[in-house]
Amino acid sequence: MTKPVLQEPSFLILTALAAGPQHGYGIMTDVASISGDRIKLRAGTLYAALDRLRSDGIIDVDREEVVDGRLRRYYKLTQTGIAVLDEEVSRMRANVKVAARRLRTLAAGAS
Amino acid sequence: MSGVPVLERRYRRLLTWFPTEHRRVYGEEMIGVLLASASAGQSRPGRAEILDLVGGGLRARLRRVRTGEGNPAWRDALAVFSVVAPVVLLGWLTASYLANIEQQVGGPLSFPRYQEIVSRTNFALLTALIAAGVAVMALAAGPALARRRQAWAVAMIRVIAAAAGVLGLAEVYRVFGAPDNEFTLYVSLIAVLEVIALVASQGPARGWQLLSRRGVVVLALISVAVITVCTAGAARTEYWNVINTVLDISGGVSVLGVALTLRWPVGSRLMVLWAIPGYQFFGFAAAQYLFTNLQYGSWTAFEVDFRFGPTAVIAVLVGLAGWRSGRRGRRHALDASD
Repeated sequence: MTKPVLQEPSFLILTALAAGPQHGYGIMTDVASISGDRIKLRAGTLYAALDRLRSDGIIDVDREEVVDGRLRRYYKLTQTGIAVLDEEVSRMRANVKVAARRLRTLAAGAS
Repeated sequence: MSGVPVLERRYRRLLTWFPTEHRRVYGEEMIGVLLASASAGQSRPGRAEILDLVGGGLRARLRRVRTGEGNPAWRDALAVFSVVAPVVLLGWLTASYLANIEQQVGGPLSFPRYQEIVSRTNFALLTALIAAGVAVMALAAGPALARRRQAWAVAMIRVIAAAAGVLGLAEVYRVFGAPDNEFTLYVSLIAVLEVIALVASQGPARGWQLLSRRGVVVLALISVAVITVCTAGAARTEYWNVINTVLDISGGVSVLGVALTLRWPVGSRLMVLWAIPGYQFFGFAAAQYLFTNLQYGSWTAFEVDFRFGPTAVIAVLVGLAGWRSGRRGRRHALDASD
């Protein structure tokens, strides 16, 4: 059975964590930056995704801190998470390659 | 900042949409993130934030139910609902359909009267579709979904039966004028819940397991009684509201009968689920007020499309959810056999 394709928010969260452990707010700002402000994750979506990714063993808690009396939890990619992201990148790269080749053929045919 | 405690309190209230376990693990962290994202002086969550938190909370709850982390009684109640709802709905639909015909022809249905109706509408095809759909769906609403080859067939039959039922009644109403009723909202709400039940529970296969033989007999008897009373009564009374009242309470009576045969708390949760379409009355009151104010005397084709279209779309969603439920059931069966 083929593995499900990562949805874009999950892909961007994993991409953010590929740079190193980050806390929730850090992931939100990083995702906005990676996507060129196209995707703005909000807390509800973010934590529903983090919960799902955590229970699937794709991410885990790296450490916890208390800043200004509030809990700050840092998340990191697990080995499974690295493999999932790697697989997704390969899949997207293969798709991009085909799309680029076909576009070139299309452009050559038009000229 | 004086606004912060108020804002925090409002965020905390919104977080109650998330399951308790989720709040225990992520609640404080989420409050920190929400407050960090808030602009200076903000005292209320924005509309997009509210939607996001409510949506995220509902998704988290649904996921817990689906993965088995949630309350098993709710999951079982949804599984029973996925069996009971189509059967009750079909009983309701059949009774309403037959009663409508009898009411319109003003007496017991005979072949010449049926021909008269057929000459004015495309009833023949619709009746055949409904009869086929009702027969097969009532028999195969559940167990077949656990079997590979029949899953697709049952899902498609559900779509055809629901859509045909809706279109059939729409046709009656378009040609003869509609008696006031809350049919669309009722069906829509039950169908939405049916989609949720199929997606979030182990589906009809589990529902049939939980229903005892007594529950099945109770459900069948009440459905047959409702159809008989409405069909026989429609030709004998001028007061359509009498028939409507029987129809309106029939769903509740059927589910109550089934709930009493189930173990606690699955039975009580089934009643809670069925109470949700009961809110149709509020929606109906609002719709009636609106239509009356707009002076809609009888339904035109546009109004029929407007009222019945969404239900037909939802019927398609029910079919798709049934198909997915069947696939999931097959996957579980394959995993178990490995």
